[in-house]
Amino acid sequence: MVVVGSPKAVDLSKAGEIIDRYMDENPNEVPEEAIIPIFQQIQEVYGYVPQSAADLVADRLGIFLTPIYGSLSFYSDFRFAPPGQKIIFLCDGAACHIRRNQVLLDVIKGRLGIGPRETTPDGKITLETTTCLGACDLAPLIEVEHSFHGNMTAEDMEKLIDSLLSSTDTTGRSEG
Amino acid sequence: MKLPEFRELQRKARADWEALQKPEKPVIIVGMGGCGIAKGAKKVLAAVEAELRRLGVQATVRKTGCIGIDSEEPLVDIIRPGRPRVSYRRVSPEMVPELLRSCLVRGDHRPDLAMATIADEAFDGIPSWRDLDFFRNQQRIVLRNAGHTDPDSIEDYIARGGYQALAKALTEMAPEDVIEEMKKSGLRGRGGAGFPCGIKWESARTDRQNPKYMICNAHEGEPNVFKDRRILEADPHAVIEGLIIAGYAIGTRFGYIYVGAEFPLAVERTLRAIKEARKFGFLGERILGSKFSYDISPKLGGGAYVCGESSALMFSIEGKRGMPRTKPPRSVEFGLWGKPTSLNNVETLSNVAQIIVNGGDWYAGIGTEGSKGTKVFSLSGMIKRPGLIEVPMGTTLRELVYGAGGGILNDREFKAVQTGGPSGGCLPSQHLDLPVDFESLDSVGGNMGSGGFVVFDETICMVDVSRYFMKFNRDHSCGKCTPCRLGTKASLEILERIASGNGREGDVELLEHTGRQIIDLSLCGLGQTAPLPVLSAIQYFRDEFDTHINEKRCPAGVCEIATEAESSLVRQG
Repeated sequence: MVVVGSPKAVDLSKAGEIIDRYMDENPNEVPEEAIIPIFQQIQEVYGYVPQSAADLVADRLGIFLTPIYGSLSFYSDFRFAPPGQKIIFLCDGAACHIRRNQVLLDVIKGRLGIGPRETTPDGKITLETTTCLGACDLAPLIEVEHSFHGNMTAEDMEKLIDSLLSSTDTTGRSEG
Repeated sequence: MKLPEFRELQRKARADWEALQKPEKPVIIVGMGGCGIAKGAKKVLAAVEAELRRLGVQATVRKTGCIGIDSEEPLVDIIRPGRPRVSYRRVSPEMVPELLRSCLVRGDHRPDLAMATIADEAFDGIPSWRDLDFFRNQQRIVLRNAGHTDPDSIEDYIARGGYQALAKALTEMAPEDVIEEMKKSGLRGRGGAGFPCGIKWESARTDRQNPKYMICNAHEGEPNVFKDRRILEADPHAVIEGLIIAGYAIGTRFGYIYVGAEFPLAVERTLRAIKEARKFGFLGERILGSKFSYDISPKLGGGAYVCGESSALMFSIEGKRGMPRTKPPRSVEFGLWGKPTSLNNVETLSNVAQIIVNGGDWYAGIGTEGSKGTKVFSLSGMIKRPGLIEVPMGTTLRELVYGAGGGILNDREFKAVQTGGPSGGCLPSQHLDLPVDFESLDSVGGNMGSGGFVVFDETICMVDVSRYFMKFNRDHSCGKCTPCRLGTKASLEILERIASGNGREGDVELLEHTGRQIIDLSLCGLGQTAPLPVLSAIQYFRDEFDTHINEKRCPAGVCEIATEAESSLVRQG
């Protein structure tokens, strides 16, 4: 696993609150049981799992970093670098595949130079693929900011990227 | 809450529900399942509320889950006083003002915009939903409330008979009686393996170790399988009730539900349902005044497909890497924290309350000899009416594809149906009249899997599809067993080489050989089924592989060699 520390020091006060709250609400759990739910909440707040948060959780739960890294690196939902300001979720279900979602991937690659799980160097857009967004009659399908874009063509993808780029600011990478 | 209070609650909920079906002021119901929301149902709901304000009309606005017919979403149902409930199809926010003005002000029920009545009878040229091809052959047990009740309303669920089974089990039945009824029903696990539910519960109950654990597997991580998340979105209390009864049957106070975090709506509605069930006393201490105490802890998955496997899922709850272990011991003997654990799928548990209320014999009267009851399928791919349907076991593939599914898009030729996703096989047209149940599918190299059927038409290349599923399995192999970890990788390399026009003589045999080794030498269901898509594609469409290898040509024009051939033609031209 590549754990990429943030270039700037991360404020861990929110992570601390998450740990406190979790331990209050689940007093009878063994420490390991808390790993996944706590990091899920941390990622929700920070957008990713900062390395220093892993240190903090190990310290507070009183467990080694090894099982923490073991679990974090196993579950693909966890991200170890800040995502872009916008995340494109491209559905890679079988229905989307046979309805040629590859065309959309090609447009994204061509326009933004990124593949799945990559972020543009300016920190604006991250591409994620998902197993199935569960609305297969809209294949091929994309979700951005809780909005679904169904029956996408290459042209639609171009337009969507245009609108995403124009709505991201130019100050660079978001810190979640 | 004790039993008399529950009876009182039932009476009140039923009266409210009846009043809602025959209202004094109009009722508007917006389909707010995952399928509707993906198509803009939230904006439709906002438009409905805005238009009602503009018109100054008093009306009750409600939401419901997916009724299943995705192609017609967003659906908006309107009940006017003295009229049946009419469902309007493909409603956009722009259509809302005209629709509401017609129906609520001018009294014109707009048959041109309607899909069907949600009633047993037709109404003025609008057919009953039961007469639509999509619904005609459905028998809805698991989906009985889907598209009818508000999934966030425990009162709606109770009004439609909810928690009646729990009350019956706790007051009239010993845990052994519950298990006996489940055994009688013949219900088999709906997660893919098809293990008899009653026998699993009995094994968990009779194991002398304590404590025991009860888990609902709601981790549906496969492409094109969306039944479990839709069930949770539409009727979460049915799952919860089944999970409580299961806990009573096996003898535990600890229940879990493990949901994929990638389904935020299903998660949200499940969490709310658990809270409501606690508030109403269906979870907690001494449920309905009995001696049975029980609670459910929700756990969210981390995006690892392999965690649908029982031992991997339990490791995941324990906070560990979700890597399946050697069996035996089975998880029913050595499960969560090493204790006896029953793990049941969402759809399996959704059947439980109905079986307890109506009896195991009733359920066993539905379906086929070896596969009792109904099955929920998610239908997708190149068909006219994709969606979620529930039919008796033994319904033919033809009925699924051409009846409910409406046939192939653009009336192209049917090629195959992929059953069971990345762990299943594809079945060509010669098997269209196959009755769909566990045995029949297995006998022809298909697989029930978790009931996701993807339909292929003639534009699909079987090499490309095999490559797709092999890539999925390679990506999701946990890496513990070498044959699975390296075998899926090697198979994918071979498939990529064939797809790119570099296939070699003997590659197909190599795929078959590797596939058999992966099946024989892997510990868990992922590895043991990973080669099935490619093996069945070879079995039924061998000529396509040969054409790629020998003629360097993709007949469907999907694989990269096709584009290269085309571009060389362009260069020559």
